[in-house]
Amino acid sequence: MFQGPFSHYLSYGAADQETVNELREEYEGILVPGTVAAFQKEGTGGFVLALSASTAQIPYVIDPRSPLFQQPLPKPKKSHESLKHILGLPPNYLPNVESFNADLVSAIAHNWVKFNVDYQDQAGGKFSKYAKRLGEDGLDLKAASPPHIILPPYFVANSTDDDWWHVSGRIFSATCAAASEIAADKTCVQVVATEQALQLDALCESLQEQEELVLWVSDLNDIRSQISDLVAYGSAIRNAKARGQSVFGLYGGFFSVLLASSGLSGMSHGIGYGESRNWVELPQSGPPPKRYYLPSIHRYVGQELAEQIWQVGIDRCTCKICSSKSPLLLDYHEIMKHSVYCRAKEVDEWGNLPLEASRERLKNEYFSFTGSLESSKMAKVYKQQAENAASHIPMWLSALDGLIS
Amino acid sequence: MPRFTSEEQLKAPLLEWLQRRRRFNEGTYTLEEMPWFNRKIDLVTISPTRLVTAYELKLNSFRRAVEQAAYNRMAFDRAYVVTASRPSDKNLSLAIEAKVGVILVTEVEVVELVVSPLVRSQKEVRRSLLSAIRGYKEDVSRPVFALP
Repeated sequence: MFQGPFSHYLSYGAADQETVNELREEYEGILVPGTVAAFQKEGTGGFVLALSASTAQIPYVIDPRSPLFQQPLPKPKKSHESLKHILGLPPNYLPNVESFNADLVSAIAHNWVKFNVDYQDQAGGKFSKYAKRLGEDGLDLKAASPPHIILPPYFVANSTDDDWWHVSGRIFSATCAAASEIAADKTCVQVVATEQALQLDALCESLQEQEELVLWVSDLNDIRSQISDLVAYGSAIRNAKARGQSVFGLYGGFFSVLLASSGLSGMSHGIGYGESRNWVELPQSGPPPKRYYLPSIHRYVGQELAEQIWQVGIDRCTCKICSSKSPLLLDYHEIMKHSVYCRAKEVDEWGNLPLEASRERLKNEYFSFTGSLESSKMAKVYKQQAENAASHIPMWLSALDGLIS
Repeated sequence: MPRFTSEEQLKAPLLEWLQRRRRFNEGTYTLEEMPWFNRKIDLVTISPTRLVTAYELKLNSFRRAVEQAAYNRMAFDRAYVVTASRPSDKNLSLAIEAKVGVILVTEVEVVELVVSPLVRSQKEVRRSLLSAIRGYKEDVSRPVFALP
């Protein structure tokens, strides 16, 4: 995170090993969900540490996913219990601010720093197995690194008056203090998590002494969100940059790539999904559905719709995966790899564009796509769905107008 | 007013009609709720010659059913919408253009309003479909029946 012009991170899930391994040149780092790091310690740890030790030296960060514990968990999964244990939440823990007395805050901070700092030792049990899979000879666990930075546990808050905001602040301070004792070279970066895009700017401004922040607006989805929320998100990023703050998006899709010129220093997303997340849904997990990333409209669509569009010669992706197969013929891993190639290309081609240039290019792409659809021989039933699939682009154009003006 | 209150109720008259019309041969299999590309197809029939037909059952929302059936069209030899409400001419045109057949099930009769033309899918897609069918047949918990 915060490593270069735009840090493109992938959020890791157990089903993603093949893609993450083979496409090492197409991203800068890995975000490991705390639940995965805790529960699949040696499996995930072995893989992530092997990547860290490889010639690609891929950095990784562990997301504590602590908003999981900001709500009741009537049916906690084993991964939730593992993370809860690592954080040091007591068995009778209740998800309210009153639970976070000084002792608990101190314990959580200490435990989390230890987990991060000791990750190589605790999670390296299967290092050799995964090192072999990377196909590089002589990888040494000692050459692996601990997490690139420490993200202290955090909670979702909707204003600086929100009690959960104060709890997050106390945990951040305690984590920094613990880190300075245990690992003085480790940077802690605060996560600003909120449900309300309009509140993000104020929350970031209240932390203006912090040069780096990680941002998460719960359920801010590129396709479904209101224009005003996208504008608020972009404005908060721009204002943060003006204050000298470097900000990284914990989740993001193509619209976030466009915000690189506004000051977004990078973002993370799941493979084939996970461009946004609703914090209330954190307890749910599972492999993503197979959907095809359509480059010309910068979003996922069903494979069958993608095939129909491809059949009439529109949007034929030329990535390494698609150059030999149409969308319908791609298997799960091929579809996932294709999505990463597309995102990497977007970061490369759009990440440096000023907003005005992005807007112009996006507008031209949209008219080209819809025009090609209109003149194609595609059956009406597919054509209408394809047009609907592109209907978010005028919304993005409006949001960009809101940021440019 | 149609007597049907659920899509499930369309199945029995449909299957009887298919049998009467000799759309089933000995050894034809049917599968219900077969998973395919992030959705479930209401009814699939597979003949002994491996002719595969998909049926989407809908009481209403004909257009939505045509959309799903149109996607089935890409892999299946034939694809149908089975409905309890007579579609408008405009919606029938939509189905015809998408090469989707339409079967109307009423309380007195079953009528094939539009025939689904036989269209063979790409080799690899077909292979994938037959493999998915085999897998589902082995795995299925709902009854699969071979008609005499």
